[in-house]
Amino acid sequence: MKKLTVISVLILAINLLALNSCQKELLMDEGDSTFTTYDAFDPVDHDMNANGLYFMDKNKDLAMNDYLTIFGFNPEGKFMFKERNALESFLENAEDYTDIRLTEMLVDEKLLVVGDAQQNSSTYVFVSEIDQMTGLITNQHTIEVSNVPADFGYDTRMVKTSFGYMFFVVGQYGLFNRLKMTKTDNDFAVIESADLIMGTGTVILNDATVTANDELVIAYYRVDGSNTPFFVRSVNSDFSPNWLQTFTADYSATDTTFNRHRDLNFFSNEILLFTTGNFSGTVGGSTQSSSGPAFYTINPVSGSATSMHVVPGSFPNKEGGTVSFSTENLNCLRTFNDSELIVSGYVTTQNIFSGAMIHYNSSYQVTNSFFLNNQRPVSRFHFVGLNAEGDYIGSGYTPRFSPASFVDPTISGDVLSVFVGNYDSSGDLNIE
Amino acid sequence: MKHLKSTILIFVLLTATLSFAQSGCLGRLENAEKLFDEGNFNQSLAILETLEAETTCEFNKIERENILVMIVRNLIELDRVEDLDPWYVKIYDNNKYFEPRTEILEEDFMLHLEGHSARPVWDISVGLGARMTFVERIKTYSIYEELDYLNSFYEGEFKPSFGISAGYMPWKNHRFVLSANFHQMGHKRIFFGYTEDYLVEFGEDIKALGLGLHYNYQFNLSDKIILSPFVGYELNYFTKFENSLLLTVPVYETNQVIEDGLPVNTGVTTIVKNEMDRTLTRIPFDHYVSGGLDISYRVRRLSLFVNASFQYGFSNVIDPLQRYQDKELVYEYYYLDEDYKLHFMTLQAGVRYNLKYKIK
Repeated sequence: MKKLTVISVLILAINLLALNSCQKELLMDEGDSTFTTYDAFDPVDHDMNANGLYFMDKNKDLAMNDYLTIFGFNPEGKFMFKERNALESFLENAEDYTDIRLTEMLVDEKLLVVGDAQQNSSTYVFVSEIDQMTGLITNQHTIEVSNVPADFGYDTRMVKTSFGYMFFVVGQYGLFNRLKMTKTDNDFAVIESADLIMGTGTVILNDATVTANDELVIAYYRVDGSNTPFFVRSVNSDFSPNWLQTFTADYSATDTTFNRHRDLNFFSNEILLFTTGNFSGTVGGSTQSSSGPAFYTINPVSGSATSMHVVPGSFPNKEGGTVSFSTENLNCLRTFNDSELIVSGYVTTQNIFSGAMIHYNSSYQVTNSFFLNNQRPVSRFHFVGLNAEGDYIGSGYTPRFSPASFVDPTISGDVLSVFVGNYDSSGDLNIE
Repeated sequence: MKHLKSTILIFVLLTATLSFAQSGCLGRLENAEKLFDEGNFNQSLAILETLEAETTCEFNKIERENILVMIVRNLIELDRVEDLDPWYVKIYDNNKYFEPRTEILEEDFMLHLEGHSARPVWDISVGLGARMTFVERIKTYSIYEELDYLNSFYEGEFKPSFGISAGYMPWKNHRFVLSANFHQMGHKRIFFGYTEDYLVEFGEDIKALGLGLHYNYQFNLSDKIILSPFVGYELNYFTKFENSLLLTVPVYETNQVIEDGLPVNTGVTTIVKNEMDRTLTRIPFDHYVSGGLDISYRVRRLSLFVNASFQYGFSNVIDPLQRYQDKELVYEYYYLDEDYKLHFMTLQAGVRYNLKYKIK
């Protein structure tokens, strides 16, 4: 009897072990990877706010209608949503408009998809507020920025101000280029509007920002024959002209995207002009130039350039040495908390296509830099930010299931794999 | 020539003398048996005790067993039971598996025999078999939006297992076994996409050295058949993890075309990646509670055994620090190891040899 009891206990114990393993199967948990990847075609406008990382992807349906997919991730880089809508969905009563265009996605306190459209002779900017947790459209607004049609091309933009938003359109109206500005409150109710004449020639708008005193600052080429000066112009909050600063920048008569690669930011009480390619101007009383990614600081009161910082191409490797890369594609600059500055993009050597970033403090000293250090081609790397824990949230894209080919979405329509990762200070993915 | 003749003569004479002496020993044994049958126990006993002690008589094992049994039977007949014990010990010392012949199964003989035995104390075993792997996932990591990582499943494979062990039985029926094993193990993780045409097969081949300590309780089902449930501990040191990947994915049309929310599919492509040495991405030591059943059939000192056991692992095999280190898998194939434990079912058959006995 004793022997039978011993056998029974042993067999029961073994069965319990086996059963335990089966029960655990049901308790498995879907882990949150610190790295995820998604199909996309042309991901752009990556940026972060306190609620997370957002970017959008442009694609088409079989009938070649334009669609927009908005991606949302929480501050740790974990997936929240991927919402796809037809471009017309972002504009209320879209059937009443023509020439509907998407211009940008703004990530501020709000997540806004912005575009413009024509109705009769007027130009409108439309704004769709996006729920930052779900990606669903919550509110839609249209703001008339011009009641007359542009004679030759126009660009619209919106910037955040202390009172709400500033909408503007730059275009040729009659003989002159005009800057048509419209102020709204935070609920997009129009406060006032005004025009400013910007001279003749074709204006190619690059970027805009707003100073602490709500002065609108815009950066643009003015193409007049073979003369292509690059301007940074400031307009007071009462719409009166403030200052105009002239620079010399590379200009391409054929590559229109090349002419839009300068960014403006208001950072640590200075205007930051981020530029790629050849660029020169008067800095601190003398002429200085840069041939790659660099940022120039501009005094917001006088408009004078005060300093120039060339983005370095030397990165620490895992072996304790350094690797030098060509920096020409480090063309993304983002500011965080008015005290951190990150330049990112992709870098190449003979056999490495890799993502890289340089992190500056508010004194423009490099506090950290890394490259992804993998043999895997990273076609583009958009480095977008820091979360509250000091982790770097990076996003870029690679060819989809392909080890070798480099994909440039401005040339190829192939599906890309967009990745979002949570990286540590040395560029390794953080461990969950 | 003269020397050779002398040598041959001496050899012949020596052989003849030894042969005569041996035949004399056997003759005395027969005489003792005859005296026993005639009831002359004292004389029979005296002859047998002399024979047992005589070094010139070279009895084989059976003949020696006959002498010892006859001595015991004489002592019983003479009612000298207090003298029996050393002779029973000598019987088992001569033959660990002594079994009385049916013609001498006198009640008294068997009665006094009961208190004596030859119990194996040390044994060694060699076994060969197969090991099946069971994977228990702990946490799944999803990377690529189109792949259904969470609903992946594992297929275990039988792989060869080889072991040697040493057994020690300090008390009757209680045996402790120290074993050293070499195992191969294998499993395959399979999952699909949320849409058709996706297939991922991630194979893993493992090699490990194992060290185990088990407690067996032996049930003697018969003189020859022993059933032993056992429990114990096993330590595995993984010497190699080799992975392979077979990936089937749809090819999408270019030009940013999407239909029903998905890129337009124009076919499939298959990617194969073999012989990925990923030993450094795993935790090399793993601990197991092990339990099972062993059945053996004894033929003299040798036993044939088969056993089946289950090893339950308690720890995650994946080294979390290495999870994202394989950039090719992460960035190119969107594969990330999930956390898992390993459990095994091991079947072995082999031979066991009893080295040393305790006789009383």
